[in-house]
Amino acid sequence: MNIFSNMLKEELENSLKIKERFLSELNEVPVGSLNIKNIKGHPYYYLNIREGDKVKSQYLGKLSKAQIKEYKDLENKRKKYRQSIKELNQQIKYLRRVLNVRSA
Amino acid sequence: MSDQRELVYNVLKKLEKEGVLKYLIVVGGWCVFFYRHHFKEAQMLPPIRTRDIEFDVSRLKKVFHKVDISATLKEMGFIEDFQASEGFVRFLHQDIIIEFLAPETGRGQEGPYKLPGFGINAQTIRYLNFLEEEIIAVKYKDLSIIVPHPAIFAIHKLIVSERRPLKNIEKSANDVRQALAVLDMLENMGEINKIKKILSGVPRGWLKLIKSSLVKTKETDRLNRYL
Repeated sequence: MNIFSNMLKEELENSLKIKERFLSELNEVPVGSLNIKNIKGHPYYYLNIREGDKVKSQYLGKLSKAQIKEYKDLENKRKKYRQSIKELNQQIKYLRRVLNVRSA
Repeated sequence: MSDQRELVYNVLKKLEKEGVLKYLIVVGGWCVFFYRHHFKEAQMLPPIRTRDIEFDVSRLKKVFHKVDISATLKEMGFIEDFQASEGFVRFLHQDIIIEFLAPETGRGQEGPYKLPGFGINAQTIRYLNFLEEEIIAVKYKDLSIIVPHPAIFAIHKLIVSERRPLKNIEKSANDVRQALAVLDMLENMGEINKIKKILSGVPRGWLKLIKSSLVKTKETDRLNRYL
């Protein structure tokens, strides 16, 4: 039992460490999601940024295909990191429950 | 756990598409998982319980095209974890941690094993070259995975179990558990001569470590069978 609980403790420590790293990586990714409005057949590019309850729209001007891809890649990266953090939170919650450890 | 296995498969598949999988040797606890899949006598092997998947990268020097492994893994949602004090990188994901290893070529060799063409620096460790002595290809789904021969794997586990610091007593116990399970599998396969042959070739110092590990776990009868 001791070996088993020590393994779970190690898992918990690892999950906490990995979560910290994902949080710090997430903070490094620029915020905002690309919004393309089609006005009279022409695409207009905006960056939507959430500030509290409000979403601010920032006009970006004309974007090249490479720039659009860059914005989309950043969005995907943020989504993946958020999903990872969500799953890590579930792992941490589960391990804490099994080990009967209260969160700090 | 099934998510973890799916992720490992996806990583391996990606590495295969990049043309580097056949040059990587899976070492560490995941070998047991692949043995379980490959050998019909391996059903009694313990299931995988490790988050870390380790690759020996020393054969990558045979690859002449550049592959940005770091970028490939980042695209899959991994983050790079640079160990600044030692200069090597690991790749973290919520389900697995990928580590790249290379044999330490001299006692106290300083710095990581650099692979600039692949965007990674590997950690150097002792005894890894032993795992490279005899490798086999095992089938996993549609992939061919390179792993050490099970006898080499088991003997290596016994050696490293004795070299771990005292604080890693659980890891050490896990090493021995895996080693004994793989040795049992080999005996069931009628491969005891293979174990004997490998043991007859290891340096005396290593043999001392192997004996000590088996004595501690009250498995001395194996010594009579193997030596």
